Amino acid sequence: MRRLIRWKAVAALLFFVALFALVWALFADTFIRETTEEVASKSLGTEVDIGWFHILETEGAVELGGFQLADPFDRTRNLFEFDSLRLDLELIPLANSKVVVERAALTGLRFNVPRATPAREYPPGLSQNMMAVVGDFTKQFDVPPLSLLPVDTVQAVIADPSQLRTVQAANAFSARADSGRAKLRAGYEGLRLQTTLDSSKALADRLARVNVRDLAAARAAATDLRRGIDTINKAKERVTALERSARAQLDSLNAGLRALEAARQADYAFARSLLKLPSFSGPDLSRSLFGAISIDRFQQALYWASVAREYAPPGLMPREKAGPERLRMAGTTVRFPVAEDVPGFLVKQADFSMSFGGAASTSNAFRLSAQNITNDPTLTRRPMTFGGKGSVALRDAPMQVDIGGALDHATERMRDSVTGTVQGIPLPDFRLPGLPFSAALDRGSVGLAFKLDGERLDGNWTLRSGGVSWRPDSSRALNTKEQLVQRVLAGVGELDVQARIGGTISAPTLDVRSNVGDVLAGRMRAIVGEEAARAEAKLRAEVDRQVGPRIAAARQQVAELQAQVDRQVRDAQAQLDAQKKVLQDKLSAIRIPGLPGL
Amino acid sequence: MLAILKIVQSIFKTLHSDGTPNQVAWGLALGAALGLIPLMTVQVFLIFVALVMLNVSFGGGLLGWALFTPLGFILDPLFDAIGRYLLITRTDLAPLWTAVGNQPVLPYTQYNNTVTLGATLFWAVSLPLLYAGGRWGVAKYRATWGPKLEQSRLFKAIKASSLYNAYRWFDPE
Repeated sequence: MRRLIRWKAVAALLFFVALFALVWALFADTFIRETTEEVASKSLGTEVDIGWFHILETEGAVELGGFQLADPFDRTRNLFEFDSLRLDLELIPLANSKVVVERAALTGLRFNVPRATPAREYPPGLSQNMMAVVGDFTKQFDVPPLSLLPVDTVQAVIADPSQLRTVQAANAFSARADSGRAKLRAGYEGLRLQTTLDSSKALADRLARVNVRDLAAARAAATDLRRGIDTINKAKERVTALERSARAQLDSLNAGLRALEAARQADYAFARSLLKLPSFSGPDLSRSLFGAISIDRFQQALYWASVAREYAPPGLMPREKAGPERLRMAGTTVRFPVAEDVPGFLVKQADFSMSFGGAASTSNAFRLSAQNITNDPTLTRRPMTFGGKGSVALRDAPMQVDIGGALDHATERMRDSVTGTVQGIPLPDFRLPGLPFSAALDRGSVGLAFKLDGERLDGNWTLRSGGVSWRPDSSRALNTKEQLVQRVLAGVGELDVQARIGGTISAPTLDVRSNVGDVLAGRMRAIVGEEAARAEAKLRAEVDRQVGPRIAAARQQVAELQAQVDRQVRDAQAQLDAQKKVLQDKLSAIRIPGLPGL
Repeated sequence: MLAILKIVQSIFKTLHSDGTPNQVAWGLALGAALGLIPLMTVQVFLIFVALVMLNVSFGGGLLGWALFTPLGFILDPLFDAIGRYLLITRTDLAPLWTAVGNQPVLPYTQYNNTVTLGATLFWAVSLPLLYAGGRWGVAKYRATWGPKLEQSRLFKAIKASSLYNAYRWFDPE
C-alpha cells in the first residue's frame, strides 16, 4: 500500500527551509531596504535613501539609519535626515499583514541639509500629479518682480500699435461713419425731392395759363394747387424724419468719439503697465520682494498636506492601488478596511528625544512626539498629531524650536494644520528679486502656521532678523535709481516679513507686508518719480502719435457728416418752402365768382 | 546547467517509469500552481510543501511548473480580469474580502491582488481538469511514444548520469 506522506522528503524540505533562512539572513535586510527606498521615493515624489536596515527578529523590532529625504522642491538639499530610528512592533498584527508600532526612538535628526549629490527625479506618477496640483496652485499668484531698469524704451513698449484699443476702436468707428454717410445719402435720395419740386413747378406753370373766370377751371386749379401744397407738406415731413434719423446717428457717432477718448486713456494705462514702473505701495513692493519666497513656504506645506490626504484618506471604502512590481503583471491590489479593526499601519505613540544636528550638535534637549499616525484615520477616529519643543544647539548657538500639527482625516472634510517657530536660527543670505542687492541676515526667527480646512486655506509665514546688511551682488555700475535704493536699504537695519495666505486652493489670496517694502514705498516716489513722470509723458506722446490722427480723422468724419446733414436738410426745406409759397400765392390769386378769395 | 539537466532527467524518468499515472498527474496539477500563481505568496509555498511531502511525482511537479510558467505570463490579463471582477466589480463580495483580510496569515495570500486572486481561482477550478488531462496524457505517452524514445541516444545518456540519484529522495513510493 502506498503511503500518503513521503517522510524521507522531510530532510529535503528542511534543507529548503534552511536555505531560505540563510538567504533571508543574508539578503532580507538589503532587499527590504531597497524596496522601501524605491516605494517611498515613488510615493513621496522625492528621493528617499536608507543607509542601513536591520530586522531584529528576536526583539520584534526594526532599526534603520542613514536616512535622507530629499526636498522635492530643491534636489540639492535634504528636507531632513536622521542617524537612526528604532521601531518596536506589535507582533500579532503582523500576522494580518499590519504594522503597529509600539515605540519609536530617533536620533540625529537634521533639517535642510545640503546633499552630496542632487536627488534623482522620478517619472510622472501619483506624487508628480500632486506636484502638478501644487504647481497649478502656485501659478495663480501674480508676483511681478520689482524692476528699476531705465524706462526710456517707449518705442519698444508700443512695438505693435494694433494692440492699442484706440486704434481698434478708431478702425471700427471709421466703418460706422462710412456706413452712416451711405445711409444718409440713401435716405436723402429716397426723399425724391427733385421730383416733388419739378412736379410742383409744372403745376404752377400750367395754372398760370388757366382762365380764372371759368368757374370749373378755377375750381379744378384750386383743387390741383391744394394737392400740390399737400405733396410739398408731405415731402417736408419726410425731410424732418430724415433729419431726426441723421441727428440720432450723429449722436451715436459723437458717443463713439467719446469712447475713443476713453480708449486713449486705457491705452495710456496699458502702455504704462508695459513699462513695469514700480508701485509706490508698501504691500505691492513687499509682494514683489518677498512674494516668491513666501509662496515657496506655503506650497511646501500644501504639498505635504496633499501627500497626507492621498495616503491617509478618510472613509472605509475599498482602496485600489497598483500591485507589487514583479516579472508577472502587477495587477491591482485592493484594501478592504473594516470598521472595528486595527489600521493597516499605525504608530500609536512615538516619543523621540533627539540630538538635533547629530554628532555636530551639543546641549540638545528636544522632544518630539507623534500620536495615531495611520493610513486608516477613520479606524482610529482620532486626529494624527505631532509636536515637539525644545532647545537645540547648532554651530555653538542655541535655537528654540516649537512645532506642532494635526491631521484630522476622521471625517470626509479633512482638516490639516501645522505650526512651527524656530528662534535663533541662522538665516541664509538671499537676493532681493529684481534688484541687484543681497541681504546678509543675522540669526533670527521664522514661523509658519498653515491650515487647510477642506479646500480653504489660512496661513501665516513670518521671518524676522534683528540684523541685516545689504550689498550689491552685481559687478555692474548701479544706475541712479539703484543707487537711491541702496541708500534707502542702508538705513534698514532689521528685517520683518509677514505673509498671509487665504482663500481656497483654486482661488488663493496672498498678502505680504515687510518693513523693507514700507520703507521703499516711502522713498519710491523720490527714487523713480521723476523718471516715471518723464517716461509717462513720452509714453503719452507716443500713444497720441499712434492714435491722434485716427481720432482726428474720426472727428473730421463726424464734422463732415454733421455739415452734410445741416446743409442738405436746410436746402431741402428752403426749396420746399419756396415752392409751397409759390403754390399758396397762386391759390390765393384764384377768385371764384360768388365766393370769397381762396 | 546542472539544475536544468537534473530537471530534464527527472522529467524523462517520471514519464517513463516512476510513479503511477495518478501520482504523475497529481504532481503535474500541483506543479501547474507554481507556474500559474505569482510566486511570492503563501499558497505557492504551501503547494510546494505539498509537492515535496505528498507521495506524488516530484518530477511531474517540475514538469507542470515548467509547462505552466509561460502560460501564466500569457494568461495574466485573464487572471487580472477575473480578479478585477471579483474584487472591484462585485461590490457585494466586499464583506467577504474584508473578513478574509482580517484573518491571520490569509493577507499573505495576496487574495486582494487581482492577478493573484484570478490565478489562484483559475488553478483551483482547473485542478480536476489538470489531473484528468495529466493522467490521460501520461498513460498515452507510456503506451505510444515512450518505448520509442527510450531507445534514443539522448535518453540513454540522461539516464546514465549520476546526478539522477538526488531525485531518488522524491520518487513516489
